[in-house]
Amino acid sequence: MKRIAIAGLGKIGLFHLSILRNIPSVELAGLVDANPAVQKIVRGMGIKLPFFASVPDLLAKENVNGVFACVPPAFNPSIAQACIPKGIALFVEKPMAADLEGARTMEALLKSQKTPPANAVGYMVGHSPIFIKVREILKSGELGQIEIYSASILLGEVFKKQEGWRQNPKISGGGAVAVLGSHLLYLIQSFLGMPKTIQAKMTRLYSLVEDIADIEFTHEGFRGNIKISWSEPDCPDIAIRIKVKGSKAELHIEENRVTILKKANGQGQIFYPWDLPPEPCERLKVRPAREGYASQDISFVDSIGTGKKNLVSWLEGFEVQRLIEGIYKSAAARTALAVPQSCYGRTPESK
Amino acid sequence: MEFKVKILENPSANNIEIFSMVPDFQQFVRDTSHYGTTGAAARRILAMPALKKLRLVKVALRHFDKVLKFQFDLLMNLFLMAETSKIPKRRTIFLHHQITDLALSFDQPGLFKIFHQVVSNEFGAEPGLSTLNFKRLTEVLEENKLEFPWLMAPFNPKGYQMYPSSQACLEILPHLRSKVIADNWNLQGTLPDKEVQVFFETHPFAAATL
Repeated sequence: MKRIAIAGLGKIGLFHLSILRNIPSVELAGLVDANPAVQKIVRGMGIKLPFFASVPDLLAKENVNGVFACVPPAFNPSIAQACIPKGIALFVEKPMAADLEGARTMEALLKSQKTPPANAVGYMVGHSPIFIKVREILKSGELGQIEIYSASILLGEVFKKQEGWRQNPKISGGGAVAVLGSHLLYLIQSFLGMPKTIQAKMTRLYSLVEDIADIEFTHEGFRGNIKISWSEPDCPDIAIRIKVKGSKAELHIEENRVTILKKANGQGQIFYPWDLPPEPCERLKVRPAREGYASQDISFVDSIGTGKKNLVSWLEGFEVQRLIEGIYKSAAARTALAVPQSCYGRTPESK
Repeated sequence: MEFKVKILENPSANNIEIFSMVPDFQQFVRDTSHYGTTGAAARRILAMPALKKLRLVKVALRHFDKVLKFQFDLLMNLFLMAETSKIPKRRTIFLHHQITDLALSFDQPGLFKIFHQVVSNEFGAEPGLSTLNFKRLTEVLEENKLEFPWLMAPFNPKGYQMYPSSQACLEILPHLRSKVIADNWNLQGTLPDKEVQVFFETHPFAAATL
């Protein structure tokens, strides 16, 4: 049995709570939120768990194996500071930190441990069966040499002046790029590796932060164009589209299908979610609606104390943070820039 | 799209009925992102016309102990009443599967009980529950002696989104008094017509979503 705590009980924290309380190998150890009024809301949901104002308070009183940090990204480094030196596993919601410096602090904390505890970042798209299939296809080399790609992540969410912490980049890490686009940036670095240079242009329509970003990545031997927008009309739910053109075939990726078009014979092959192995969440009494979340949480819990690397560990989270930083710097400089250096020269592939 | 518009112009002639579903979940998610969970609900309630707020106050007073304890099952229903007040009157009002499944995750059958009362008594409609956890929902309803006229869940020949398994969901159907609507039954039109036809002939569905 793993004793798990949740820090931050906003929308996403409550969602993780709804999953974790249904995993038979989890014993919930406590809840943390800086706002004491949240305790009443959670108790009203029938959750009678010890409640704390901070993660250090929790760790001083409870024996905990792992923490889910569901707080704005700026607070992740301080939670890591409280957990990692004590060997407590830490899952952080995406992006990993509000800036590259914060992510570097977290990586340094991990590196300072003789046996680093389990760690993960909440890019749940990585656990979605359709994107697992894409990774398989790309790894097989079926596409040949990659020539060019285009990708977009679109959502119709922001159409007027906004309020709240998301409008403060020091806390949120940025606008549409950090909050929404980081999912797509994770997929791109996971599928195609890290680019060498970035050229980005931002547009503000309604927010204090960017609402739309147009980005060009140059990789070794190929390039890609990316569009990120949370102000897309007629797009009530997140829509991810990726097209990859290779020397032998093209790959068209959407959330509900993957199509391979072979150049040699013009034949296509389509994979739908219902043709793929489902998420391994048979241990859950109640399955959440959105794909990826359940297997993400189950695999993080299972990795605690086993030394098993998570699919989206802090290493991958750090690579996404480098891309986010590079995008903001390029947009500010209005020119193409090299991707910020990794602090330790490690890459997910070389680990 | 054109086909859809044409048949919706005269639904009854096409044996089609329009049901409502609350809340508008995508809007709910957007609002909670900006105002927080409580803030989003409070804004929705405050925006209600005064007369409709009275109905909400009546329900809140009936469950005053739950108001004092900030209980989720009641507060969510007050929010749902605010949502329902905005939509045209329909024969049936469904609870969105995200809320049904959240209530299942948090063991909150009281939410279903109050939803049933509110939809029947305050809105004069038939209550329905939509879910992705059909088997678990029917177990919880039975344990709590709750009966809903309508249930809706994914049902298709491939067993997609039928949790925990296709067999587990299908074998419950003949034993239910509720009318069951099959959702996500044609998997974006990828199934052969014959396979779908046999599926519907084999199992006692009351209707299918369009």
